[in-house]
Amino acid sequence: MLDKLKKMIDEKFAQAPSPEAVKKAIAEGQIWKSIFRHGYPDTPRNRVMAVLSNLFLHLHPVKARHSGVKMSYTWCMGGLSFFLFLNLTVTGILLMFYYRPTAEYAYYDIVALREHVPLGIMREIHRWGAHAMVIAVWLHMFRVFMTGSYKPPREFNWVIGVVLLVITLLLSFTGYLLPWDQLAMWAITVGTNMARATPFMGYEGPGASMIQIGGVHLVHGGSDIHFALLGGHFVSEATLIRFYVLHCVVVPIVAATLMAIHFWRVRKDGGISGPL
Amino acid sequence: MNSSRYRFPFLALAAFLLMTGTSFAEVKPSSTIEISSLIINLGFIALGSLFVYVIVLTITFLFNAYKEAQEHKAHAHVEETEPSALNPELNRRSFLSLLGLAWVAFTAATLGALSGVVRFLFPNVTFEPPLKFAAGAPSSYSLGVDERYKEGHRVWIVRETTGFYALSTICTHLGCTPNWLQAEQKFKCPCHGSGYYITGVNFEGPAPRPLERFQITMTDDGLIQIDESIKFQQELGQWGLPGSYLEYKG
Repeated sequence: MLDKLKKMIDEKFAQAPSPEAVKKAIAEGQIWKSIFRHGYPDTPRNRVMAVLSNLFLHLHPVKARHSGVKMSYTWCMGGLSFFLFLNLTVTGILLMFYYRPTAEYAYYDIVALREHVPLGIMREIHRWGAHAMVIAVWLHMFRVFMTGSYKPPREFNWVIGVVLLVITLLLSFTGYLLPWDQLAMWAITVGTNMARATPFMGYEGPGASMIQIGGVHLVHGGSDIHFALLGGHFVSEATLIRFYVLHCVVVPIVAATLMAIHFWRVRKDGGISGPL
Repeated sequence: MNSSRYRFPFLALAAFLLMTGTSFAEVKPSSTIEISSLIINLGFIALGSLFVYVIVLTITFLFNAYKEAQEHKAHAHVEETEPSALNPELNRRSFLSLLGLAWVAFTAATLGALSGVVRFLFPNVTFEPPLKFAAGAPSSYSLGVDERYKEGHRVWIVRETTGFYALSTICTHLGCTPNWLQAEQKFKCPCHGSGYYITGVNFEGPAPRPLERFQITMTDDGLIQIDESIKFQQELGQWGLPGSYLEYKG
């Protein structure tokens, strides 16, 4: 009985097409060709095309040097920063499903994210990830400095990196207000008070009284950069929604754009961890 | 011969600019919104002048072609090297000036839009408590620091035997709200430890100057009125000025 079954299975297997034939049928079919535009066999050309003809991958080089994966050289801090950024983006979007940026609900929603939501550590992951990203970008900056990777032709990329550092700190600053507790409110009060003393743009800064058109003072308590940042004269509900938009949309878009340039320049300037 | 007709687009442009420009002669902006709308209007004018120029140029070109076709029937041969409707004066040089005008119009329109965006970020309305408010009858205050308007209006009303003054609750160090310690008779800021006497003068901690005083007056019906838009700073010698202290011997 069992032998008969075995014989039947063996016969069926003999009739089946070989794995190579199946692969060929798929990889030379219309669907495959429309999606991938190159063949499947493991030829050098196909390896190159797999990277070059992909929108997401073609920012990166097709080949990387051996030294590029040496952890002892780069500490992988740049990559870690980027990974943490992606992490924060994903956890941030998940938090957005529950958090309402109004004075009435903000604090309560943050508490709810811990008490009422399954896996109630999303808010903690986001916050710890933010701390970790700040540490990672500082370590990355130290590493770049220590290995002299700011020297020509990489000076411009260093400058972009510094701007990215400021962007990271701005993300931390704008996000700090969102829990809407005493710590958040006063930290942002103190931080934005510095904006009042900016030259020309802050009404308590030097040069503010010089900016006028025909007697109309353009920079005063209700029209300087401090007012625009807060949406009022002090931290209020208007500030909360402004910082929410800055934190979730504006600064991430700027960060993503600068990161794209930053990664592109690494490649263009001679690749990661290459000799100077 | 035909080139003289191509003055028309420039004449039309000049006429358009003259008509629209005269309406801006007496504009005197008196607020930031008016400045923004002025820039936006100028952007539209630039765009409109581009349209006028292109439209009149097209009409002139077509008219020339029509005239040229008519003359074609009269004459047997034509020399291609002479400027004609089929080879008009719209050569590379004149086209580039058209492009230059287009860029100017685009830049003006973009700047106008950007100024609108910047103005958009400054709200016209805030939902903050009014800066000028009535603070009740003087008889409702006992001697010392009164905290009834501390949270709502950010002001302490202090009564002495000779009268009243209104202290701002904003610490002069970095802007936190100090606490009034009745037992120790001092204001103490919880953020960094700045300390002030009951008068508002700073004596300890990182505060660089005394608390500010707001204008305090009496209304006609005998109520105390505080105006937080007018402040008096002791370090500028303003605490003796009228309005900084309300004399009242109740």
